[in-house]
Amino acid sequence: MSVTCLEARNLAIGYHSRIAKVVASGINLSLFSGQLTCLVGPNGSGKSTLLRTLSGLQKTLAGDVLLNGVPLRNLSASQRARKISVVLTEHFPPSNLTVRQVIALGRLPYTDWLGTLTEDDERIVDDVLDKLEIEALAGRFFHQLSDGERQKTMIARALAQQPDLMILDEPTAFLDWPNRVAVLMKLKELARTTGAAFLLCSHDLELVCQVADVLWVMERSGMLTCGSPRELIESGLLARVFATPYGEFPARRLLLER
Amino acid sequence: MNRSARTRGLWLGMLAALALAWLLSLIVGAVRIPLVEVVNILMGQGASQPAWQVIILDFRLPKSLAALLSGSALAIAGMQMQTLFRNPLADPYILGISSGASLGAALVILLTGGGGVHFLAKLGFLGNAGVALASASGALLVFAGVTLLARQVHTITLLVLGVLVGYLVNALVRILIQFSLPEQVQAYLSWTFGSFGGVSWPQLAWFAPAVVLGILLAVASIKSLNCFLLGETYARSLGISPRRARWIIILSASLLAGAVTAFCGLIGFIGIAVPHLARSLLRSSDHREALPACAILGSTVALLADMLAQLPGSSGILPLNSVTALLGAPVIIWVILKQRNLRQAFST
Amino acid sequence: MMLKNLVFISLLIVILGGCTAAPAAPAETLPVATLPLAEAEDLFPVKTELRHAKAFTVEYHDTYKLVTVLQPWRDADITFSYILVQRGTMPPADTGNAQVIEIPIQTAASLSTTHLPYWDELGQLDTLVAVGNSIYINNPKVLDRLRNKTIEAVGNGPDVNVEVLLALQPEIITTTALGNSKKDDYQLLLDKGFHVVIISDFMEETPLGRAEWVKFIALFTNQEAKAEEVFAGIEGRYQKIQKLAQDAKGCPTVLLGYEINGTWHMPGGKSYQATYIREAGGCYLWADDKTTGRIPLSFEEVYAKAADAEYWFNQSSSWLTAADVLKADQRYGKFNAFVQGNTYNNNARVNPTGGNDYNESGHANPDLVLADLIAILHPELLPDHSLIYYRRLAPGVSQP
Repeated sequence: MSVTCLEARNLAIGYHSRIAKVVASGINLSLFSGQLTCLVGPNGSGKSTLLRTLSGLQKTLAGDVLLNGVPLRNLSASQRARKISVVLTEHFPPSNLTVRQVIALGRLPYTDWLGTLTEDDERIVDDVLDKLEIEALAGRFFHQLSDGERQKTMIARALAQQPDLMILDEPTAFLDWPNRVAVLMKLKELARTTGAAFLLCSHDLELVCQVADVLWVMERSGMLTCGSPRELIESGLLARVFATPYGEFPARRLLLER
Repeated sequence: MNRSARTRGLWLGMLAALALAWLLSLIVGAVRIPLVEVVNILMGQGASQPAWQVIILDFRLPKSLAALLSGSALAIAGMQMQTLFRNPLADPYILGISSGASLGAALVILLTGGGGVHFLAKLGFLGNAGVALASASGALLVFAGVTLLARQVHTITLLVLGVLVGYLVNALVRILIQFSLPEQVQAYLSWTFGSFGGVSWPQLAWFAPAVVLGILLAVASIKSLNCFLLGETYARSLGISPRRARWIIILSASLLAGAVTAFCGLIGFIGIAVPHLARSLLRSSDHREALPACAILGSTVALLADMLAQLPGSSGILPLNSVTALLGAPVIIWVILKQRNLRQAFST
Repeated sequence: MMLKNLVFISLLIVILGGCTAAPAAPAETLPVATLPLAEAEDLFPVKTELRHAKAFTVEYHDTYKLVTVLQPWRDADITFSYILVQRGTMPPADTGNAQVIEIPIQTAASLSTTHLPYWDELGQLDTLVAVGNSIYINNPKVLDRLRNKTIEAVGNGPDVNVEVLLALQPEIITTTALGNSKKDDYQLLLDKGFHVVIISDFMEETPLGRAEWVKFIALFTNQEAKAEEVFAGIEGRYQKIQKLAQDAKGCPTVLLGYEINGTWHMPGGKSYQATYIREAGGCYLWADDKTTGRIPLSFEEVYAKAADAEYWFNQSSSWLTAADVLKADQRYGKFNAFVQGNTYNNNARVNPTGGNDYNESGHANPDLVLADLIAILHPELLPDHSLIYYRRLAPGVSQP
């Protein structure tokens, strides 16, 4: 059931400037389809850099990223766009776009040079609206929506790209509690129903521990540890990594609640 | 659906307005020529007065075509610049292309009659055709500079460079003015007012293809423009190469703005106001609709401005730029007021 | 015999004595002359009378002339006055706003090219120490002096070279003004202590009025007689041929100017160009217009009214041949005046750097300009006249 969707081999990530700044190196990862994987770690550990590198938006410093066995760098931008979609924290400048139009932009890697939508495309947009339960919002202008509605729309847009892998950078930031729960549960459900791999990073430790299939813990040292939430709690890793002067992260409590 | 009926009606209305404006531009002028005669002349059947035929075919027709082309060109270029730079007040001249064109025109207008008069005359830089040629060369030079940089620098840097080029050109032109006779200075001033009347058929033979090419490139960039609405990062994740897309957009806008400046002088306001009008009427930022709407509305506004500049009913003409400003400024103000969240519509 | 002489001499003494009875000097006036008035000559024996010029006036007083420039520029609301005091005498007590200048002047600077001919006519080129921009000058004598540095070029407008002028110290600087503080140089020169004389000959409405400004310059050099002689000659020649033209048969229709960027700046009905055409016996198609400036018209409108005009004058100074006209805009080829070869441009005399002599000596020799025009419009009246300022732009005629 679980197919390896994305693999990282001996990956080094960082920034290309005159001197390459390495954020982390020697990373070996596997990401599985149909699963919700969450990347957690303290601020400044390089989570965003890792996500951007895995999505192909940023170049690797060394090593390989393989998507379904094919190195990312061998794929053209449009090929990549049909496989990987992203949801970012970036707000884009407002314009007169309706929710439907925003979602339809997700179909662009499949449309012709002009961007015309076929009936199939429209059907997919409808389908995605349904999946995210936002049909009622279809005609509304994007920037009139609440934060939660906007986030769902952006996820819908990424879904409309029919990706093998969706990468989300802090999808629960700025959302209220009910919305945070709703988004994470929805993502898990989508992973199951669409069979795509979902990778997100979040600071919502408690929620993520309960929802994710796989956790990647990235420490400030650049050390990355993968495992199921249970494994990582029982081993005490989470408690150690997220220790504060006021006490350690009550990870064991989560085990009891599960 | 209500929206699509409204949209259909809108397109019909816009096309009808354009057709009407074009027809009026042929009828209205210093001499009253009856509609019947106009139609006859256009059909190739001659007119009851030979002077009318010359007036329609050699004066009004090329002028109306120049207005049509210029209006579309400026509106489309303006829209592209507003999307690329995420700036609701961006105009087609923001890259400094038209500054280059102004410099070319200034060199010809202010220097012929001064030093080098025979030299320039021998090169063919005479009259309107000469101004257009020099102007186009200037635009081309600046464009070459801009595109060399476009691949290297950030979009914001381009903006700043465009502004700086504008200042530089102004300074150079002032120096040229210092050494010119009053007759020439007045001619240059007249050039800055903008006009469609100086474009004759031989010039249209160059102007029209340039504009058409620019528009075709703009159409090719529609997909990228829509992606840019989401920002460069999302655009990349959708498979667009932002660098290449930017290059095509800049090429298109430069060709459009440069051609209009070269042949018709500096015409303001159409490039800023019409995109807003189009987006506001369509209630959409989708460039697949906005681009053709800009073309149609831009042409209509240009034709209208030209007719008003001719002060129908009396002798003499107004500077075209004054009329476009008078038409354009209220539109912008109206759009800003109506869309109370313009800041939302275009946050920087 | 001796009695008669005695009576005569006594009478003479009585009369002269009466004349020398000096009026009781009012306390505030300063002593005026070193010589008793009766025995002094009239300092200004020839007094200028103006027959055509309206933009300046002169009032003669015993030891000074009061010169007023009435309209220094279009819509001016001030006038400029100059009190020209004969050297060796004292100026009047109350000079008001006027500049006081000692005459006859020995040195002068002329910042405008169009005034040079007046100095030349009066034989005063040696008085000039500086001119404005040298690039537009046609006068060969001035050009010579520029070459061997007896005259310096100092430019004009806000960038006029004040330092050179301060070194040269001309007694007067003549210039024109537009009433625009950003473009005029007179104020900054006044501030530096120079005597600045504004010349507004361009405000005259007639060519003779303008040419009469030679008398204005003459006021500063005490050459009223010479100026009158020169001007009378011009006036005489002008009026003689003008009369010929008025009596001529027929009135050919005339088009003036040219189009640039869609606008034809048509000279107004009361402009110089229009006046010349009228005096030359031509019928300018916009003669009804009441302005002295230019009217902006659309190309179409001009075509509609003047397509059949018989003659076309005064186009762009960069058009040297008929081919140039068509290159500028092929639609000129639809004008009758062009097709028939009756297109004449006033740029026959242009210096290598583009200065048109029509704007230089042309203004001082209106009789020659008029002769050119009459020779073109009514060739039978002046059959032996060769064109001086005008060149013909006819298709098929090869021109330099």
